[in-house]
Amino acid sequence: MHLGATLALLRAHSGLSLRGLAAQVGVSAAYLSRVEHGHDPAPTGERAVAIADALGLPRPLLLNLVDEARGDGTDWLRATPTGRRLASALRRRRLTEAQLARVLAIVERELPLDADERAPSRCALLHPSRVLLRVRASRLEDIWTLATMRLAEGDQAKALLDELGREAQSQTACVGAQTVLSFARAGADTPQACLVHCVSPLPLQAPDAAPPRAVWVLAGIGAGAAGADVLVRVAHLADEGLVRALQDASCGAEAITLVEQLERQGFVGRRGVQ
Amino acid sequence: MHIDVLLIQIAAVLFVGRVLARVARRLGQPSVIAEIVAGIALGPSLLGAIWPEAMAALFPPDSLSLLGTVAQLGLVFFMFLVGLEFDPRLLQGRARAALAISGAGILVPLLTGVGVALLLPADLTMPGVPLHSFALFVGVAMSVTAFPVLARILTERQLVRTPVGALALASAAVDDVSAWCLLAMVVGIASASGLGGAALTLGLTVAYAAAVWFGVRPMLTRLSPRPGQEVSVDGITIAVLAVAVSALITEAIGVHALFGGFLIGAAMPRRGGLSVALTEKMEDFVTIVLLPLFFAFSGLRTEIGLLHGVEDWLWCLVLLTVATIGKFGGSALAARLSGLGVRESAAIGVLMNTRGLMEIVVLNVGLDIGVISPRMFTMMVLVALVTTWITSPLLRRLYTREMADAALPLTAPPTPAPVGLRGVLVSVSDAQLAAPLTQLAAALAEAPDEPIWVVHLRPVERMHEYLRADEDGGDLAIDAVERAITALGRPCEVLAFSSANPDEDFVRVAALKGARLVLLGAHRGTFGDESHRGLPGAALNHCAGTVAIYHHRGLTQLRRAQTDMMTPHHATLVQLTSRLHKAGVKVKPMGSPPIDGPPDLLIRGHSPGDPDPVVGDVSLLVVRGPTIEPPEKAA
Repeated sequence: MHLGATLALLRAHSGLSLRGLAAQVGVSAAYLSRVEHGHDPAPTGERAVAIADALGLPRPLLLNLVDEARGDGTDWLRATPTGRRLASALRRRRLTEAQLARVLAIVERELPLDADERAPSRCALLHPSRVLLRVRASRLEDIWTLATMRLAEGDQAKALLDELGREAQSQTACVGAQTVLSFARAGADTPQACLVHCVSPLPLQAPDAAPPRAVWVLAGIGAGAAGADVLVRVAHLADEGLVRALQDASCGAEAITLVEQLERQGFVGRRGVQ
Repeated sequence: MHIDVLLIQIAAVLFVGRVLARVARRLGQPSVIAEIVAGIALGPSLLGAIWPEAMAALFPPDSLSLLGTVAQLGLVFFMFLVGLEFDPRLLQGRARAALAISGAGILVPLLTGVGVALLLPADLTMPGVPLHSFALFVGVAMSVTAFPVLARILTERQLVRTPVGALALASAAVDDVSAWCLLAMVVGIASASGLGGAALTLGLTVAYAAAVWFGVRPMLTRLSPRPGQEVSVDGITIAVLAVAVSALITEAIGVHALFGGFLIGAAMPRRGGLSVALTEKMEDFVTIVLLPLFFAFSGLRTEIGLLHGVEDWLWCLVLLTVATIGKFGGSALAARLSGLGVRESAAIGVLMNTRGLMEIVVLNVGLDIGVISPRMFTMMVLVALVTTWITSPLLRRLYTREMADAALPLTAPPTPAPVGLRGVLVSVSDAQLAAPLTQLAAALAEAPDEPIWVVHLRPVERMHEYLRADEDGGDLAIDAVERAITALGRPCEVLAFSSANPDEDFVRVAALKGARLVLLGAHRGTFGDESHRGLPGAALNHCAGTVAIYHHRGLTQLRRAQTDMMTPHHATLVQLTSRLHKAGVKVKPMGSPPIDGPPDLLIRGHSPGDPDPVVGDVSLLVVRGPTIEPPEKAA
């Protein structure tokens, strides 16, 4: 997943402009643009908190994102004095795997995840009929048409296609790992996803220079934290292993099994076998 | 009782006309010229001069009244078609310039014509006819423009969409209406006795025109079918009846029957299919059969032998010069004053100077009511011939191909009608059909930038087959589609996916894309036609735009097509045919002889329940028009 692109999607979802968000966070629009394009490193924990507040999203959502982008999970921890002491305490103890498991169990028991974190699985957004495999198309618009065909009917379909095609708001971004994410408010009453996998790469600009082949189209993404959460969760599914595995999937159900696997174990297939 | 004589006359006139038309085509002239010349050649000027017996046998004096009646009948219906052709939309955006050009283009030659007529020696005028009637007639004859000839020249040279072509066409349309009203007036004045009679005729004419416009027009509008509905036999019959009655009334008022025909034509509603259907059904018969008879009749009355001596020919030259200076000068000057360039203005002037058959119509009216003498008639026929003859070569010099091409992008082709549907959606399920279907789609696309989507749907149950096919180096149909698109040299979007319900999905893609035309191949059923089932059936039942079903019988290159206009969905057939024509395909109506070889494709309208007959080895395209009036796209 590409952090900058996901941030840009979240910003589009909130309806804020680059300038507007930069003003609220207290950074320059140029800096924010560089972050969104991946030219600058992920923002610090404090900035992530400021961005979350400006976008009206729960802080952990953004902190987790930034965190993941940085690779080690400690930056946010060091953002407060207590966090720094906890990190140092854990490090000095040189815990074994078993001891770490015990700490994890204590955390899980004492501090259960809030409702947001226990939100329905990303797979629930999908349905075998909404997975389109081995598609040949060279334009995103055509892919949107196919996805719309699966996601909505009648007037809702028209509204969805119109919203996806609007250029003013960038409700589409390459979120890295050969994956494109498009979202729209219209098209459904509850969030729904359609996954399109193309035979040949799409001629689109990708932040990591890997031309995209998988397109997620999300419909019924409401305003506020719930919608943003779905966006982030789907952005997490940008994974080269999944894109590669989809190439050989024979039907929608098989594709969904692959997505489930990615969610459950964090990767598709056996790690190390590329 | 003269039917045998008449039939022989028809045969002779048509034959000579066709032969000369071939020659005219070689010379880059409109075929009207050939028809006029054929009439003159069969008359006393040529046949009568070299072989009087033959002419006497072909046109015995007692047969002339019947020929004259048929010719007049043809004229009334031809004028009806001329009125039908008048399209106020031509004026859109250029009304001022068009009004200025046609105004000046009528007034100036009218004045110069009246002027020169007053100077003519007494032996050219008719004894007993007041000089003002004669002069007015000559003026009117000099001020007409032949809209049909003009339209044909512009179409043949592909100038219709250039600024000059569009302006000339719009001006000629205004010219037509004004000139026929003027003619009605002059005929009224000339045939009435005294000033009071003339005023009465004019008053009646205006009252009758108003009655047609405000009374008959709304009735005709109600008769016209809504889009998608077929034109009924009743509608056609009532229209023809209206022409007959109207011609009768104007004849009774004293302003020639042709004016009545023209009025009804102009009053026909343009929306709905009635005027298109009337034009289509009547045009061929009237212009191919009846109009040449009129020219023949007119030719019989043209006696070049009447012109003798240098003096007569000099007067003829004077008339020609005055007519050209008046018409060309007036129109070109007005065009120049409306802001056109020098060469463009001159081109407009030359175009408006095309008098062709219209002047001949006016002259025949004049001869009928005895205002002009046969000698004057002959001279003016020659003027009409020469001014029409010089139009094409002069235009070629003045307004070169390069100029026309350079001017084209300025007037971006007006988006044809406000439609919300756009794009051609082609379904290719079979590698064999990829090339013909994409070729057809490109030919039927409205503009070079109208999107074409080539859709290939794989049924899900065959998915595993395709997986294997992919391992062997790809999917045959898609490869064929991509090869076909490369051969086409035009951008097309390929859209392929697998589906559990391919038929339903195709219809949904068509709806979401808002496709104007859906093109698909028919299943070649074991038991004959199966177009009511499967994809064609789904498309016919659910697609809003035009649906075209292609029955493949080995079409490789689309060069010639034949359209069966007698089948349903007439308006759509006309549209598709004209589009094919623009794409460089030679299109002929069914029944007429093929141009230079057998057709590659037959096109006919779809009629439900009727199997689509594939004739021999010719590929067939069955067309169904749009089912709904396309929604107006919000800006």
